[in-house]
Amino acid sequence: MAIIQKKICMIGDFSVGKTSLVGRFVRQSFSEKYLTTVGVKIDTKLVKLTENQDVKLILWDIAGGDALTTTTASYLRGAAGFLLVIDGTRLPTWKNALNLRQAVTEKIGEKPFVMLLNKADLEEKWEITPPIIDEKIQLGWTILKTSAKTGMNVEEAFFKLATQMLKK
Amino acid sequence: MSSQNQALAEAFKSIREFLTAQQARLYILEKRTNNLEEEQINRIENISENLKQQLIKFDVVHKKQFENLKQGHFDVLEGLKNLEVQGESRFNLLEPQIKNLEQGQKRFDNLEQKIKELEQGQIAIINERLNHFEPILHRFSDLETKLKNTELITQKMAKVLPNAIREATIQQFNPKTTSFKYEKTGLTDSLQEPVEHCLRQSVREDTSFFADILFPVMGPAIRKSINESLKNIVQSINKTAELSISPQGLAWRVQAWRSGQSFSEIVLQKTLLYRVEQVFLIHRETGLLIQHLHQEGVEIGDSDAVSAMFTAIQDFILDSFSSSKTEELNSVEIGDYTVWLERGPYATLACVIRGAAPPNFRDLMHVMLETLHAHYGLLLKKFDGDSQPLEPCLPLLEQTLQSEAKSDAKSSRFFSIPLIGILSVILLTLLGWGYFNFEYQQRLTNYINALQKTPGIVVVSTKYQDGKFIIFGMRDPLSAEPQKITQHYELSDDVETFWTPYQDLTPQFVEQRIHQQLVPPSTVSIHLQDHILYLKGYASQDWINKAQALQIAEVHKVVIDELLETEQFLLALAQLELAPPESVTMIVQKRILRIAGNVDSSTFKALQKGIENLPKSSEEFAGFETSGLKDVEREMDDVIKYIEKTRLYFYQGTTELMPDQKKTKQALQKSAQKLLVLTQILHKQIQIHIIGNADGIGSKHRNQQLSQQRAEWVFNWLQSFGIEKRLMIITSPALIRFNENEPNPNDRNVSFQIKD
Ligand SMILES: Nc1nc2c(ncn2[C@@H]2O[C@H](COP(=O)(O)OP(=O)(O)OP(=O)(O)O)[C@@H](O)[C@H]2O)c(=O)[nH]1
Ligand SMILES: [Mg+2]
Repeated sequence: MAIIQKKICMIGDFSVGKTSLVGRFVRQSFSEKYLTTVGVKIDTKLVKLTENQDVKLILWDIAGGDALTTTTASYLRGAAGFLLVIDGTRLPTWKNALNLRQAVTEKIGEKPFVMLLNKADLEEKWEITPPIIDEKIQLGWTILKTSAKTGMNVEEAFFKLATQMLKK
Repeated sequence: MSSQNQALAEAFKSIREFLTAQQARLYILEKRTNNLEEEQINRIENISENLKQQLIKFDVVHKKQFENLKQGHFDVLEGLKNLEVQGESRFNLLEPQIKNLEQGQKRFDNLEQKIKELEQGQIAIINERLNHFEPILHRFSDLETKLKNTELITQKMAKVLPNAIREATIQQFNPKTTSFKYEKTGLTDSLQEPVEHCLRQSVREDTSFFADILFPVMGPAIRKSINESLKNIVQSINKTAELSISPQGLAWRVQAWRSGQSFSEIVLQKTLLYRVEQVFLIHRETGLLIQHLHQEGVEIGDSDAVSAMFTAIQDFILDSFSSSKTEELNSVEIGDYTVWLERGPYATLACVIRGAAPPNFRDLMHVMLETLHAHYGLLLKKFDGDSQPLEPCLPLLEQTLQSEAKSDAKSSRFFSIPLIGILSVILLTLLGWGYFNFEYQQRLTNYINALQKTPGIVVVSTKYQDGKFIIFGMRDPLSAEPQKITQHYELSDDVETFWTPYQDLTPQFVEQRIHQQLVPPSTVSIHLQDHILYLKGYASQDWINKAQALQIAEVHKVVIDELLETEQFLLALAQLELAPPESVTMIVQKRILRIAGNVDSSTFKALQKGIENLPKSSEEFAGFETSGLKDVEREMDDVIKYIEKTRLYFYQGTTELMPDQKKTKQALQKSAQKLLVLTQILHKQIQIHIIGNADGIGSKHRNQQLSQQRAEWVFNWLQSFGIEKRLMIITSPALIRFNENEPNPNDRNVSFQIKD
């Protein structure tokens, strides 16, 4: 059984929890401390999709921002898919995520992605409301509420993306 | 007097002028002499002699001129005395003019006085103004001191601010407030926006400036993360064991013990110039690791992550520091290691080297990468995470895992002269061959893709050899002809293929193989699901037996529940289609339907029509045998008609049949008997009316009697061969003729009428 490798990028604004999500997924750990990512941080994780299909995910955790810089854009090259992360407690990160997705598509073409509404453990403080989420679900987007803190839906998010990438 | 003075003054003036002129000339001469002295030192002696003489002459002339002047002076003095006399009279004329001037002077003084007065007034005004300014000046200095205070405050602030910030930070980390990040801790909150804003602005405005600042951070950060992955490397060299017992080995052990380094490290330092410990073949676009090799005993970290990091560093360097895109990162220093990077169009080769590799090792890397591209360019290009097809790269890559021992182990030197020669030949050949022939590469790519997409064909490896592109693969004999594909891409001359036969176990091929083995008739449908073969339809018993005995990979069971033997099937089909009454029997023999039985007219017609509609072909009915099927209703009608037409003729005046009536009698008997049978078959009740007749000769009574007797005779006769009495009735004729003269033999008969 061959192991297939796939490159995945974490996309999203500053401090939405990209690094935390990767940390939760790869090391099952979480920290309240915010250490902003400079450049890019790389991790890997082997995922068993089915009995005879293993995928090695190469996770590129790219420094966040409201737009792509030339450097972050070059890190996207060759990605098979991406996770679009949003901080549920900060409405602007939603709009920035939509712009980022547009920019990513222009850079590397249509690629499978899963949209993550992170910090679900703080849902009482959320600024993102169901109507705007539903609108995107109507378009067929895969959207998950996640929490790097509690681990909610984190495995599922990566799993879903991996499945979509291999279907292609 | 004064005029004399004036004349004298003028005389002196002219003398002075003359003297000055002389002096000037002297000066010029002197200068010339100097020049001459400088330029023509040799001739100076001669010239100076001349010069002296000239000077002497000049002196003489000068003296003479002076004498003349003296003379002239006397003359002038004479003249002056004359002038004095004349001057006195003129002075007298000047006196009134001087008085005029004196008056002018007075007026001037007056004016001066007035100006002074005016000035006095102005000063008063200025003083007043100055007085006015004084308080302003005071306020100004006040302001100044205040300003100084602000500076003081700023200075104080500068001291306080860091503390304030620290305070705020500590507040943030107060463990009592769990969701500290969203707490309104004023300072941090208000700082966050502007700081973020500043950062973004500065990144946007000058990326490379920012990169410059970041590089010292990035570099070590990246290095650290690579280092983390590499640090587990542990040395174990075969040499260790044999050296450990030699005196040298012992010496090194002592050194290791003294320096605190590991023994293997010392061995390495002492014995090796360099060693390539790991080699990464990295896909350029995705940064995914295609293949990775390492020296035996070298423990490796997460090589996939390292591979991606190498790519990320390159991206970073490329985007931040070079506008021309030509200067790329060629090596990275990481602790004891140097990583050399070499890039090709689709893949990057990274060698992790301990020690100092010779510069020509880079040439090897370069040639290696080009060879890899030449052999596997297509696979490298379309690499999408599955490195298995690229495993054939490994033997080539292994060549880069080189090491060079110090002095004593010359035999293991990698860069022998002949090898360098060979490598350069390879390089030149590659270049000459037109390795960047893009169209050709494209065609090859499409061709390989087409092969890969063809079911039953698996390309295992490709290589470039002797001017040909060689493809090794596996092929199910049932798959499409690969030659055709090669021809389609016009590559027949460039490509050589080697196929190992194999059985493709995808359902498509399993089904094909079933067809090939069983050759099922068109009347059988085949369906394969979950390794079970379902057969439906009908076939000969022989074929059914063959199908049941089928042995084929991926088929675990054969189900024939819905498969019939052909004749069974045909009979069932006939039963179903014709639905005949019980009186009809059917059998199928050699695919011929034999149908027999007695039926009424409508059934007969229906059956006839049904049979016409039954399928007739080489796999279905071969023919129909219907002679046994009888329309008894029609037969009865025919018999009845026949009987009713028949007449038995008698001799005149008797109940004796005419001699020619024998045949009629026989036929009638048969018909009557048949009628009897048919009525039984059809369950019908009939009555045979027997009507006797006589001709007109004789009396009415006699003729009536004769008719009756004749009918009775027939009645008895019919009864004699089994026609029951109850089925017959003697009916008197409609008309009895009598007393006629002409005999009429035709009227001497018995006729029949059959009624329900
Ligand atoms: N409550 C809560 N906090 C989270 C969650 N995920 C991340 N955080 C916090 O959010 C902050 C930012 O998280 P990071 O993962 O560093 O964010 P990032 O997207 O990597 O940010 P950049 O690297 O700057 O782009 C950290 O303080 C995390 O502890 C979550 O699911 N719930
Ligand atoms: Mg981060």
